[in-house]
Amino acid sequence: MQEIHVDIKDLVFGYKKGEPVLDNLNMSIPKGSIYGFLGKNGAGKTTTIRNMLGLLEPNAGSIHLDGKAISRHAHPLLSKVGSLIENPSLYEHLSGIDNLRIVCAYYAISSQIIPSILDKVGLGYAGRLKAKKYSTGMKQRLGLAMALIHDPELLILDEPIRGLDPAGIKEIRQLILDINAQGTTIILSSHILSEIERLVTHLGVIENGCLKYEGTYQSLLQQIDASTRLLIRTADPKSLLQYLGNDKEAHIDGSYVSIPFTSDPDTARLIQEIYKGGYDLYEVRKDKNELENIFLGITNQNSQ
Amino acid sequence: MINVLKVEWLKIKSTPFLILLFVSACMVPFTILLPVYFDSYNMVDLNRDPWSLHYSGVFAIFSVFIITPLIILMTTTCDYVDHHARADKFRYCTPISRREFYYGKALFLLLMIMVTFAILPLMTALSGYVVDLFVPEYEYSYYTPRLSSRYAVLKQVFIASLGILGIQYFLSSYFNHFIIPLGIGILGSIISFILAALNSPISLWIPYDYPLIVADLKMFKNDQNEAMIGELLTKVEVYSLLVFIVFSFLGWMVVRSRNISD
Repeated sequence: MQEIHVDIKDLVFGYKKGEPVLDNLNMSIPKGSIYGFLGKNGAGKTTTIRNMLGLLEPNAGSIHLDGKAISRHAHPLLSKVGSLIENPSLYEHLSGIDNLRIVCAYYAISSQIIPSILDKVGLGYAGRLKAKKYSTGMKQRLGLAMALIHDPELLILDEPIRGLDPAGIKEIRQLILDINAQGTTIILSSHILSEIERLVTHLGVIENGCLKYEGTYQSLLQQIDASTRLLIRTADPKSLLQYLGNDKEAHIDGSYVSIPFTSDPDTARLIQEIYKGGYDLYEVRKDKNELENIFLGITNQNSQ
Repeated sequence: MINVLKVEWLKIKSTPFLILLFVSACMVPFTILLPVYFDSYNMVDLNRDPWSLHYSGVFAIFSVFIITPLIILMTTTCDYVDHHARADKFRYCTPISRREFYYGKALFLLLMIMVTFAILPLMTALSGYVVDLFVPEYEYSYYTPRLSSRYAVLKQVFIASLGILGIQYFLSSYFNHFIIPLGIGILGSIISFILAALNSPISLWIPYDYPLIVADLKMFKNDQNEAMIGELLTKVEVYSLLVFIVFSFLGWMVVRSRNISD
């Protein structure tokens, strides 16, 4: 069984009494995973992360990091956590190097590491520039450097590629994969699935403060395969539907007959069967349910 | 705690903080050069030690006009840097506790104000020697400035100023804002100035008045400031220390229980 790095049980939190933002939230984040934490804007992602980091005090429930309650062991546990929540906390009147010097002092580490960490996030050329002169993407990179400088075991990134250009996104994605390859558990929060789907090993989908889905990315892909349908276009779809019979879970979808996809050999047999039935086949194609649709499906289930 | 002090020092770089400190400590001593230059023969009695009048003039102006705004501006500037950076959401996720951050910054402010008080008599002595270059008849260089006795006087003003520091630090922590604590501080100092000018007994309840009371200015009668604990502390100094302790603690209670949501 995979070791759990972050374990959240029955977490309840509200900014106002009687209006919970998080409602009995349960999450298990495996050690060494890249956990995609998805949800629409306002679903409770950032609130969950702030609870994890001890910035907000839960009304009920527990949060354990490495098996220890964050409420009791906050400071030793936080020394192993790096975070970037929304926009980075930068002292804009100071240079990138000075901002990192401050972080080095927080973690009591030598500031000799600063040039290498700046190179790592692609800011080696801009360390002496004042942070107020940085572009949004550069600020995001500096925030990432601040989160990484003490070599954390758990890295929590809330919308980490916000403001980055496509080349920057590619670099940061690679950086995240490299960090994870060294054994760091990474939590990536986002409201856009496509931003993180290429990175994650596990996914959690939050909606209205409750976790609606949690599992491996692989199991989600299997769900996608299970929901894939075969679309068959002929001159007379109604007649084809009768010919195929009800056992195929077939239905009319516009000018197509839609049936569940099982396998490629089954598809070949089906095509032969239809051909033998005397039907003219205009088009046969797979209608794969995209990850984004699954995500929307999960979140919409709750909204309805 | 050392790390917090180091961080505070790094943070105030490129802010008006250090300029405020040095301008406050240097401005008054060197401003006194102007009246001396323009009205030299009426400023100081000849054939007498000129330092007492020089120092009391500088300390009076410093206590009445400088120290309160200085503490207000230093405190709000120091806190504003963190508010502007939305630093809490990052620094409170580090191994340093909120308590260390809170009291570390309070200690840093205290040290910076002490530095201002330490520089002031030195700058005053320097300004005296500069006067001596223009008006050697005053014999500044013949007499010694007797710095230790000047520091003893200034120590009283420093302790009496701590109440203001406590209140302003609490306000900055509570409002998490720049303008509101600044506004309240300015209002407090205006009220204190009026009350002190009227020699009102209510002054004892207004901590912004304490530096004015202990400054022992001739323009204010000073019967409220009787010695209280032996010869060590006056009544006003004790009040100021109490205000400092109480408000610092209240500020800590605010910071400790605050949810960081922005």
